[in-house]
Amino acid sequence: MSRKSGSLELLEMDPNHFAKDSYRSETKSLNLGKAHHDSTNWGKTSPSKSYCSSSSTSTENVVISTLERNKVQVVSEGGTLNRPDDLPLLPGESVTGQARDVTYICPYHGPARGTLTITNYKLYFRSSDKDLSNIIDVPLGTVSRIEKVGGQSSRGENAYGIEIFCKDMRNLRFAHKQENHSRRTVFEKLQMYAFPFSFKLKPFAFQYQELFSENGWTVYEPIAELKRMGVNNDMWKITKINEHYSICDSYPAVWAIPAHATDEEIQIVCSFRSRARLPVLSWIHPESQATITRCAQPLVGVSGKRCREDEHYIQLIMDANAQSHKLIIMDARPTANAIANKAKGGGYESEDAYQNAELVFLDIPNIHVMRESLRKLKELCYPNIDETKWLSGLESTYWLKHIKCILAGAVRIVDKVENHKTSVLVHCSDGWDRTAQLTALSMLMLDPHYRTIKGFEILIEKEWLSFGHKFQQRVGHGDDHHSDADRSPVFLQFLDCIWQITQQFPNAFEFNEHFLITILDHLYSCRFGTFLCNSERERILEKIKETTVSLWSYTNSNLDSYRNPLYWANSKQERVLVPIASMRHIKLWKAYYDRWNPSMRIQDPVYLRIRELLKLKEQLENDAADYRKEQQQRMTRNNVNPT
Amino acid sequence: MNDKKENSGFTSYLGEPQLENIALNDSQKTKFLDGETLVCEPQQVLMCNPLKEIQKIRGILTVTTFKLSFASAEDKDTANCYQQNYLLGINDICLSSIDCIYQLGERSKKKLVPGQSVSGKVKELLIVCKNMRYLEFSFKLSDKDSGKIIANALLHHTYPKRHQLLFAYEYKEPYINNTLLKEVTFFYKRQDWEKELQRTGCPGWRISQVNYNYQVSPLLVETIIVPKSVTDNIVKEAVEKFRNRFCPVWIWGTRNGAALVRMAELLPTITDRTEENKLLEHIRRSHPDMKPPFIIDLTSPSPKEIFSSYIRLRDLCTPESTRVFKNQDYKFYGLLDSTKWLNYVSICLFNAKLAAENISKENFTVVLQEGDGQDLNCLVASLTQILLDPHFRTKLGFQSLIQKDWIAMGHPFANRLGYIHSKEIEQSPVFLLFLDCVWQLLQQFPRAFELSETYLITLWDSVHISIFDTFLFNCQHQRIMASMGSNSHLALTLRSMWDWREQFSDRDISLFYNPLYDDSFKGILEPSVGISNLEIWGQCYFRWLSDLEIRRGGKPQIDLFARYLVQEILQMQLNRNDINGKMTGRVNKNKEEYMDLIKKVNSFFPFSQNNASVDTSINTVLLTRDTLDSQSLFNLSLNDDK
Repeated sequence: MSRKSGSLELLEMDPNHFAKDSYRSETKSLNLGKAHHDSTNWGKTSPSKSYCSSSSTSTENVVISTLERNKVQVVSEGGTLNRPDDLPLLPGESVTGQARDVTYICPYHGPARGTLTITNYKLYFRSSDKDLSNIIDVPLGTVSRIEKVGGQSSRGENAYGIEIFCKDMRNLRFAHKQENHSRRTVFEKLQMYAFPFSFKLKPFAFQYQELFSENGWTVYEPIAELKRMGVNNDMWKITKINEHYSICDSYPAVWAIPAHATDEEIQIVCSFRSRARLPVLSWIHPESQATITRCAQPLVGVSGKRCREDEHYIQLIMDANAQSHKLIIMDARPTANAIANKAKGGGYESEDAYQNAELVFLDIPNIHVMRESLRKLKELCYPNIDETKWLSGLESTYWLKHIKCILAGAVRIVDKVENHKTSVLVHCSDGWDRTAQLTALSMLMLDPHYRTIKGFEILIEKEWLSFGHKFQQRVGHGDDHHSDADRSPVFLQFLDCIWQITQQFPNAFEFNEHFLITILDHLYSCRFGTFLCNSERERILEKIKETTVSLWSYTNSNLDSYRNPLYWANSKQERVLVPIASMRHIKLWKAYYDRWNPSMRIQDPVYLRIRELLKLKEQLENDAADYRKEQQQRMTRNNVNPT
Repeated sequence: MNDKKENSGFTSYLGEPQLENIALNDSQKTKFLDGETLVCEPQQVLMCNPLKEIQKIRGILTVTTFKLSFASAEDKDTANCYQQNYLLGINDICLSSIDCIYQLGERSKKKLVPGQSVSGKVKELLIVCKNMRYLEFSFKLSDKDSGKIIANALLHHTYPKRHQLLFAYEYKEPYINNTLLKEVTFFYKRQDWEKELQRTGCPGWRISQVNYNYQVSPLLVETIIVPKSVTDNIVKEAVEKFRNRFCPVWIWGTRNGAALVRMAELLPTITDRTEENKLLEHIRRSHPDMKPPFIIDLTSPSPKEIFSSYIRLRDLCTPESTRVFKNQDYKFYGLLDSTKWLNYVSICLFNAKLAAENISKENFTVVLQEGDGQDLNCLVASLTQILLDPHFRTKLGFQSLIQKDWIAMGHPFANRLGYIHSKEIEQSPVFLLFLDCVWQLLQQFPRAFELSETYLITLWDSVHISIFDTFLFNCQHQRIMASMGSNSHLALTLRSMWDWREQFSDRDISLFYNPLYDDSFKGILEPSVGISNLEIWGQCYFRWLSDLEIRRGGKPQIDLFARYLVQEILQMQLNRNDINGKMTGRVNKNKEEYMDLIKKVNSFFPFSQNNASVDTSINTVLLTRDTLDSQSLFNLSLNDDK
């Protein structure tokens, strides 16, 4: 399937490129003690060369963003691609504007002069210096705001130019020459391709042409996933009542509901739940049959309305689990927020109406609080860190506190389902932000399937994409309303929580940190169709599957670089992970939030060393196998020609 | 001991259930060392977990001249416990490792001060140790005065006023060791210094015998290394001018002539710096390029600042209730910031890096200067040498470095570790700050160290055990006097702590080695020293908080996997060198052993309290917010919630 094309693409597809380097050092080091690394290079784990380039740019392929793969290639294959006009292009990508004599104002190493190119996918700056140390390569989908700095009359060096604010924790400043409106073309093209929707254009994903050996669109099959959990069974059935998205437009076409629920009942329950998002199945415990179900808030209102069908439906969910006579309703919101929602017709389940149901509030703040928290975090981390205020600054962003709060909520769900064999119903207000965080996290803690690479892709497809987390709105793909109140880093928080769990259970996951960062980079890049639109329905209407490439096509064609070398050790692992949701364990994910800062120690040296040891072991095994083969051949020869 | 008594005559009038006497089997009973004597042993004491109010174990609490010991019929078999010290039981602590004793009331917490005695009823005691371990005992089931008796016994025996009252003087177990030389160079003898001068190949310096027999100063090391151009007479005159008579002495150097030199400040009475300048001029002349030395002033943090930082850090690690735990957790990073601990770690690493860069890149001789010359000088000098010299990152090298830069150079361990209590003595965990710095380096350069995190933690635990001489004295002279005996006390048997077999099994000692070590790596370490690149040493400080233990997770999973890998690689290399190329079954056995452990152990391994039993329940109390939280700032925007 993979298409043969120019050298660039071949380079990009070469998964062994990075491995070669480390292999070379391995070959010298057959004695364990005498392993590699010339001493002068060591200690420079932080990137020493391409400091200001757009990725964490180490020569080891560990936490490098996949976005920058091209560039790393360019650096290493500099001999063939050295002309300044040469720039790596993806299939379907084309140059739309260029400005020479532009100065990139690097916050770490001062100004660098070079050429700025805008394509329909990315912004690409290369300094005219021979050493190629200043390459900036940013997909325009990552851009949230573009500002002109200074005017024709501005004085001072580098006072006239463009400032670009990105969604991935950095800002970029370019200075242009003041003559001839030199920034005009670049600025216009930047606007056009960073915010295609404002120009009635489509995101780059629709132009992107690359073919992969794997098809990511087939990773998640809703029915197959429900079957894996044993549905249909006596208690749960698959329904296609929403096949045309007529019952609930933000839900997928296929869901599982209690086997005894009737279609009429479902219609009424939908009318009693915000946005018609009624309780449906997320996960079933393979032994106890306790379930995790999800929905939106009930439309109780100030008058405390009740709905017999809704109450009965909840009873059915409870009854589907013979192990417990209780149901826990986890309302992700702070109590006060839940009460406040009554005024707007929403609210929460009263324990009078829902007998045997126990309501718990998880105190997780809303999307606006989270957005503000990330803004503060960016302020703290970029561009430079004030070491004297680091810890207190971290405290005042509340970011880690929010992460802890979400994790604690998920652990409480796990505790109920696993230890008390009790089913849990999760909701917040609309059931597409905090609810998705909680169900997906608790499922990942309960079910090792979701800790594999493909299982994790399924989890994202299922709990996030199919159940209508509004990626378009929350990320703000392709539109220029950077201060839109609907934007919020909800999905980023989820991946941060996952990272926290991987820190606590280093061998429980098939994937590594690089995989998580890759997902985040392409959450914004708009190179793949995966995270476009707000719901399954919209994706069908936009023909996303037919016209764009799935991120999972890309990741699954290159699995080796996302594998966690420690995973093997845990093949007989615990089924359930219970992370400790204490601030004493929660750490800032520096490899993500601080990755642009060259002074940060980004790479995990333990991880690197383990990889070396694994390589060494593999090589010794091969040597031993060769040796045995040789022995065997010699034996055969000896048998043929007895001397 | 206790099973002789019958409980038939006992009638409870207090509404408590009638308690059976505690029957212990031999492995559970408190064991005594040779020379250790019993002080008191009340029955029916409850040991509590401050973070789990329901979890209480009933047992016998014993105070001896050496330790506080809790023995219970519920104690697990120690066979499954790792890092279990031979000298102590699972629930035993050496008296010299106790830092504070608190009397707990309903809502109060009162610190018991040495020198006073308790007269009222004591219901509960909280014992906080120097290694952040803390234990809570309740006396509500025991005889009326039990709490008071224990409190007074502890106050009396935990805080000796004189060195000769330490248990080391009473410990009768004979000690012979022949293998120790492979473990450490002591730097007590002239030859050790000569060898070090030769090993480093640093030109321009010579051995001086001016302090032979400590005739110049008992505080100064006996063998000192001075610039070649300095005569013994100059030294004799000069020492008088310095605090603690700590004139500039060589501690390490390079073949290119850059030396690392330590000195104290001039005495406060001396205003004229001529003497100091004279010696600095000699140091300049000792350099092959006649380069003037680079002086680093180490005034901050002072031992006092380190101590108060440590106290705040310890408060964060010893919450006496779930309420306190949650309140601390709620603003953890702010509280951590206000301890300043990481700030001090950062300063020390910064200074060491500065010294190392000046030596290695600029070929300057670096002179470290500090008040008395025996606190931060020890810390920064030894860190600098770790950065520059791979020898000091091996186990032998590291232990020798501590002997050289801390013990021989007279870091006042007896005072700083709080072995002796007196108003004039300044207790301060300077050494812990050093170990924390080393741990930070280990995080950043895991392949560079032969030692493991487990080694560093065990070292901090062991420095408080009062039978070894290594960390017991303020200076070498004091050690010699003690070992000779006098009218007032018997001769103390010198027993080195580096003889780890006195405390641990071979299985535990094997965990002192870092599986990620790469002995071909000889490079200079250039650590990131900013606070944002440092971490809190959780394994050391939090290991007593069982609620923070990650079940079957955490770093031991990586550590054990790496151990497995290394074993397997070594085995294969062995096989390959084996002429017959026989593949033995040993590899697979190895694999299974480690895999088995990986599946069993929790995150505080090997310091987990009970590896054998895994607590499956989740302490949900810790997951909820308390009232403080729900009034938090997050609710300000509640109307926005859609």
